[in-house]
Amino acid sequence: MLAFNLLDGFSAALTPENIALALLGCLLGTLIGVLPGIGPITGVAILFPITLSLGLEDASTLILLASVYYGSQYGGSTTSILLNVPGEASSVVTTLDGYQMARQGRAGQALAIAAIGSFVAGTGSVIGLMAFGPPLSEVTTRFQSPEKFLVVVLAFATVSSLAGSNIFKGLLAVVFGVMLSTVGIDLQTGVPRYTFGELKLQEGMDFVVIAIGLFAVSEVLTLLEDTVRGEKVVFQKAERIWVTFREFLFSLGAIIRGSVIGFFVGLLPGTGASVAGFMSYGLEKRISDVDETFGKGDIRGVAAPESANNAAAGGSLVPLLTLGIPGSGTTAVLLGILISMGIRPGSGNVFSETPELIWTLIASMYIGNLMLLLLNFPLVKVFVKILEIPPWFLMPMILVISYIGVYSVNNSGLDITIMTLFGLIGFLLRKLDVPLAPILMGLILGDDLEQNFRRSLVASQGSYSTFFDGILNVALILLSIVVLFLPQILSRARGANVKDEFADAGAEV
Amino acid sequence: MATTNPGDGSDRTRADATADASARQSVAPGWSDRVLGVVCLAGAIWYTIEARTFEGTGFGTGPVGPKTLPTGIGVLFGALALVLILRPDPAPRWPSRTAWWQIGVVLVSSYVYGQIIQPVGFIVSSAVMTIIMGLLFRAPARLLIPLSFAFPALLAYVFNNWLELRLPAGWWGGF
Amino acid sequence: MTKTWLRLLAMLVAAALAAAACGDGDDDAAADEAATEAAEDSADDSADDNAEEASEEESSEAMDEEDEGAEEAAAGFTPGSPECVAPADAGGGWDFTCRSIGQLFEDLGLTSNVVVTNQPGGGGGVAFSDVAGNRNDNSDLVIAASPATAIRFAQNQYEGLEADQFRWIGAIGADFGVVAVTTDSEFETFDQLIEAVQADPTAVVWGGGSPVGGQDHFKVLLLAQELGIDPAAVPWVAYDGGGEAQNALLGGEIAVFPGDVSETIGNEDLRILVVMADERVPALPDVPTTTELGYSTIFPIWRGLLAPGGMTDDAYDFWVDALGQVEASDAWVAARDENGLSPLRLLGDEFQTFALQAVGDFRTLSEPFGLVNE
Repeated sequence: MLAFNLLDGFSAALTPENIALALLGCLLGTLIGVLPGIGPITGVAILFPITLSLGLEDASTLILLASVYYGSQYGGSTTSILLNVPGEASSVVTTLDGYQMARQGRAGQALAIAAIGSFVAGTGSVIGLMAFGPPLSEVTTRFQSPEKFLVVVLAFATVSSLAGSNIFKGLLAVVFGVMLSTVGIDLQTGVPRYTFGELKLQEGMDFVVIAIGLFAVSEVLTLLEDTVRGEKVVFQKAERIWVTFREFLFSLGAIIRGSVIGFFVGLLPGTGASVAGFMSYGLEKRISDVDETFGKGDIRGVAAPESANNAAAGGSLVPLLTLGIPGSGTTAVLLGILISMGIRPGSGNVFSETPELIWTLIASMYIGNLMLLLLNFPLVKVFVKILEIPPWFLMPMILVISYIGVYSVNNSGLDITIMTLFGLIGFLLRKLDVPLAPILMGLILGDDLEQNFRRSLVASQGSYSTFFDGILNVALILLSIVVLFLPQILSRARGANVKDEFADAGAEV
Repeated sequence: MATTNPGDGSDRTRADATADASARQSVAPGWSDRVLGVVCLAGAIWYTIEARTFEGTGFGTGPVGPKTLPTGIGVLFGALALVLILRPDPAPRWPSRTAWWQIGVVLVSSYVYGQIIQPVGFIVSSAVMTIIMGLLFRAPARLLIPLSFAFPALLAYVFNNWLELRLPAGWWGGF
Repeated sequence: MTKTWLRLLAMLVAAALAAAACGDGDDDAAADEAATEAAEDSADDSADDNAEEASEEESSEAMDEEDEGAEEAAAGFTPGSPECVAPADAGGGWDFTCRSIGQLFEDLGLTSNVVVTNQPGGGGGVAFSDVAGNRNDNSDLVIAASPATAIRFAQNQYEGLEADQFRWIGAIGADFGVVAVTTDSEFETFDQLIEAVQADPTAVVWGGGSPVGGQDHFKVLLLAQELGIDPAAVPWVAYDGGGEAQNALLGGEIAVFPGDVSETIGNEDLRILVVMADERVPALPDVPTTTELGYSTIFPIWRGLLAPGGMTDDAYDFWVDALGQVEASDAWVAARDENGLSPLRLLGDEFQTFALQAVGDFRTLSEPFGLVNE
């Protein structure tokens, strides 16, 4: 029955219109991913309101945006390899061996193995999603407010402990996001909070506006600073994208291990692709680096993290679709999009209630993978050309498109002001090493946190024991505590955590 | 939003001062995090005080009212801000004075953009924005002026006619 | 605009080619120029295409307008660019009202294409203050309304605005409130439920898709008032919409869900104890009504339109007449039945009186509980 649903999804995704949209999304996404500093979150956030204006079916909108997501992730790996500039956090670790390979004239192999690894991992994670998604959804649909509250707590614990180097800054970011989520009318009592008498604020802060401000505008400001500083990127040429069968077999172990780790890391609510990339690189180094070639242009050092971050993107769809908990900034934006379409993962079983949409989305991710593989082999040279657009034109272009995105949400100039303010906040926090994605997660999930907490207490007639009722609740509490202190525990146990290893390798984060 | 509202403008100058300080001495003093901590603490205090004023309607909505969670996270935010003040990370590399000045110009023009987009219209306000940024980067003038109008005009055309998204036309009209 | 995606694709390919072409030039400036030219060329080409299509559209519209000419003479007014404002995001009840009625205006040849504008914010307040402040004498414009609108007017939630500042055009079709429990609930009948609530109001947890004082909770307020119970004692859990509330009901978190007919029909896990109406509704022929059971509380959720206060009498008459024609059409009957609505026809002055009366009643009921803003 599940396979049947996926086949249905394929037949829905394979209409000419949807294929064209997937192609468009992959192209746009790759272009966005290649642009310096502009990553998947920005791409999806800017394009979402614009996509709405196309008047497409919900499934087609999702296909387009999912392809943008995949494409931009892939474009990010391309710049990691050719420029030593990661498009987003998840491809930071790819720069280690990828850029070294490019400097040795092996950029073609690095790009090829990244594409192949992503494709294999994407395939694997679709299978994993089919295996885990529906049964988990059966369980989580029965969750009531206390469980939902504890799941959000777990997600916050995970994201703040894994998002950055300093756990307090991660927590600070989550709490800031939750504070933003309290703006607006209180759902239980109808009381307006933090609205300053502004009617527009009664609906709450719009996540698209905040996301574009925090990510797109602050990225433009960072770019501006780099340009003023006179930093110029030098990119390595990729003549031909290819990989020999021997090299493929040599990397196959890394690809499979990376895919498995990536998928399971993605399953944890609140963790996403970047953690998976670091973990799989660390593990692969420990297992395979007998000749100490890692960090000096080892093809497995590209294969492992690229497979892992792709598998994690698939794996993080499991908590996203079953619990409504996003694993990264981008999936947080995807969640916001699903909610605005009236699909509320976590409060209903999306696999049984809206199977068309969900399986079409999953099928389209698979198709997107294949498309990227086919697109990137001939077109990578074209994509890299976008880097030659001069910054004086690129920056206002990004800003103007952001304005359109923000303005079209509510037709309101106030949103542009809010976006600008959050651009400044994002820029300052970036400088101070405060991770931004947790702010977005706090904003999107903050309401769930509060409302489920209060609903639990009304339903239990005021008894707090409702949160400790049953083995599942206790397990969720314990898991949250463990996850919060996981990085410290890991670094104590091993002397250093994977991120330190990465820092040891001498790359700039 | 809550945290930066009170000290938005002063924030920048303080951070600027920090940048200069860290430029003078090579040892990173961690003042940047302390400033962030102080700003957050002020925000937390304001947020928590504000939270105490929310009154429910006295209906059967449970023992926890609209002020409970805001109070709780306000206090937590304040505590985290204190941690930042007490245990700051080393300071980052702040932008130079020139870069700050340019960032300021971009932010101000972005704010003005939001104020004028409805009366003036999308094309003209976008063109003005593009020209300002082009001047900041010493773009070749013979390209800048035509491109600044051509690109927003193209976008406006595409959005208004193909995508059914109406951008404000303003005094000069649009498509 | 079905070919939108194709055009976008063409544009993108053109842009990619332009980027490729410019990359080969050594001189940056020259390359930029090439890119711009290429982009402009492609824009020009498609502009031509678009112009052709536009002119076709125009000519067909012109023909439509000729057809309407006859009717126009009779009505004395035809909206030039008719618009329906849904004061909320797409997908809700107001949006449904605008889209379904707007489509029928057009299909019945009463108006040209009706543009639906979603203007969310402040539970409708953003839209109402915009219309009253900036477009008060616009005769081409109507706004979707329902009892939720009347409740918010009653509770002064639309700052500085009163219900009588607008012209109420009419309501066609009504949903009704229901009281639903699960099929395995201990309450078999409405009377059993009422008995339990009267014995101990705090014993049964209610929940729905609105905060206290909102549309779903108002059903509790009305019932409590009739039964002489203190409504503040009844536990109320608010959810983000009726769908979420139903899930909570099925999961056992709340015991009773006072929803609407339209959102509960077809859900076999629910037992609907009563419909808050005076007559049985077509969608639920087997469920007793409150009137049948001897209660006076009814809760119709009418779907209606209102207009800016400065609308001319000619225009007001046109819209009232048009709405009446929609109500009488087969297409509306089909749409109404499909969505579980019951027949209702309240037009013009009759509706104006009804709506203002409803606002007054809601205010009287809200005041003692401090739900009316200063």
